[in-house]
Amino acid sequence: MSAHVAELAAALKSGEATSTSLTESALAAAGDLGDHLGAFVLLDEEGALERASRTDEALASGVQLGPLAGIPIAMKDIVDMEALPTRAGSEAYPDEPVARDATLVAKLRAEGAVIVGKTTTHELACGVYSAPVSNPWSPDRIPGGSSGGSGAAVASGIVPMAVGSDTGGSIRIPASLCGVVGLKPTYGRVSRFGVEPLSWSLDHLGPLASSVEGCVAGLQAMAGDDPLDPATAGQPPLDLEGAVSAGVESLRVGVLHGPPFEPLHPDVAAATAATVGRLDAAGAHIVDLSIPELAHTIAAEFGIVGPEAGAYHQEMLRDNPDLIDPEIRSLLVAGLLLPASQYIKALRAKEIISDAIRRAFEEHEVDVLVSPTLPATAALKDQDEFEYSAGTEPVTVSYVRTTAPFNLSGLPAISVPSGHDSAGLPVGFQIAGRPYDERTVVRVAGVVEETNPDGGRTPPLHVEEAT
Amino acid sequence: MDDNAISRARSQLSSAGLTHEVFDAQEVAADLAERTTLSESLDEMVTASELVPGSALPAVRPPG
Repeated sequence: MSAHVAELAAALKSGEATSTSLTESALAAAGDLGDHLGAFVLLDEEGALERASRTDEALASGVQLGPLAGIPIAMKDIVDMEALPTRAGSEAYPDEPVARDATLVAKLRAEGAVIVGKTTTHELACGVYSAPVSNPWSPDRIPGGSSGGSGAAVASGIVPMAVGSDTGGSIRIPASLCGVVGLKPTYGRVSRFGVEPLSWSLDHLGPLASSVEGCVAGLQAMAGDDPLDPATAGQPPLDLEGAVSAGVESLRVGVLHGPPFEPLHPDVAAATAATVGRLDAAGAHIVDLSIPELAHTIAAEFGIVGPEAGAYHQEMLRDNPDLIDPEIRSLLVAGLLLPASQYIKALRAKEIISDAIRRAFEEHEVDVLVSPTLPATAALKDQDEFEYSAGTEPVTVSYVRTTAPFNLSGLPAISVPSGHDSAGLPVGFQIAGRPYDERTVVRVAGVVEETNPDGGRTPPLHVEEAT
Repeated sequence: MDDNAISRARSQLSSAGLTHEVFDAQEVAADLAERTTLSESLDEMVTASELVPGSALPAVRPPG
């Protein structure tokens, strides 16, 4: 596969490829890389080929479909697909197929997208390791999570786009560590109906893709009102036409400093500074700022996720607690047993943090806020902590502290590759925008992608290497 | 971890119907203490805020 959404769409349009041939290639690549990568938990060979054939017929008869028409994509295994099981990376989940598609799956299928299979998630979408998935850049390292299978499937070139979920960074973390683009839209942009929740207040769905334009195509297909998810009500239209190439001239870019965006690994700090310099050179006005309230990001994030996840999984905790990973189990139990006052305090902290970010946008008159997506690159699979000059920090806390502010505030945020560290591992650059302003986020992301001097590099675990 | 905290955790587990042998009251008590400490770090910010609780719901405000 190894091509972006737009290139594949052009190949379909010109007759150079058919949806069936693209789907066969994706399924073959998933098989070839399967044992090394662990990105997929299930391949829907029969269903995908049948839909690809139907899309070929529709395209041949001149039916107008969306930009993803005929293109193979992948789905995180917390999202319901009719006639297939949803296992959420957990042994505690049943193998029975579900009865209907999630809203976002139905939307993608209506656009003609062909879903080739379901990708590995960290158990219950609650973690950053996503075992047994390997990072395509270095198989002894993690892909990030919880949408680790989606990140690895895109980075290795099996599919150009995959769906992930993001409660504390679970789209942007694997995007950053795997060297792909990951877009968490505004809270409520994409329906969560038919998706296993982790935390209703913080859950978002969105695309990971090999290009910014691929994320745009994915989000355009998935976004929109859904009566079955009240958070989607009343959203303004999504207008991303021409945004990728619109440039950043005259945009004001706020560069975030201070906790939780420090400490950073030196290579990440250098790549981030270089990217900011390229935005400056492209005509953006750079503003340095800090938001002190964000120092409380982790306390607020975990104070909400625990009780909401504990409440949702209460029955499973009672019936099958031995089938849940001990670390996740302890989060769920604490969430159930902690007093309600602590949960309410965390919800208040969420409001205060949201308000502080809103004030930063207004007082500094910035159009976007930027930061490194993560303070460090991909950890080893058995690594528990990162070492910074200021001391050590658990891997999970390190990855979540820079991404979760935009779950708490619900603001749109994207991770775009911006370079590599001295070990050759990808570094991501995060861009967050005002509510529902995915357009400006995509504009800035387009320039970061275009000016990335490391753009075009492929990882060792890639379809081009496997063929 | 003091005995009272462990006893309290055991009682809470039982009340919540979490009676499976996999639950260890001592571990749960330690975890609750750690998460309570984390939550207490929010006290100062929450107390000092003049923002009316609930005013920022839903989670985001409209553009402009």
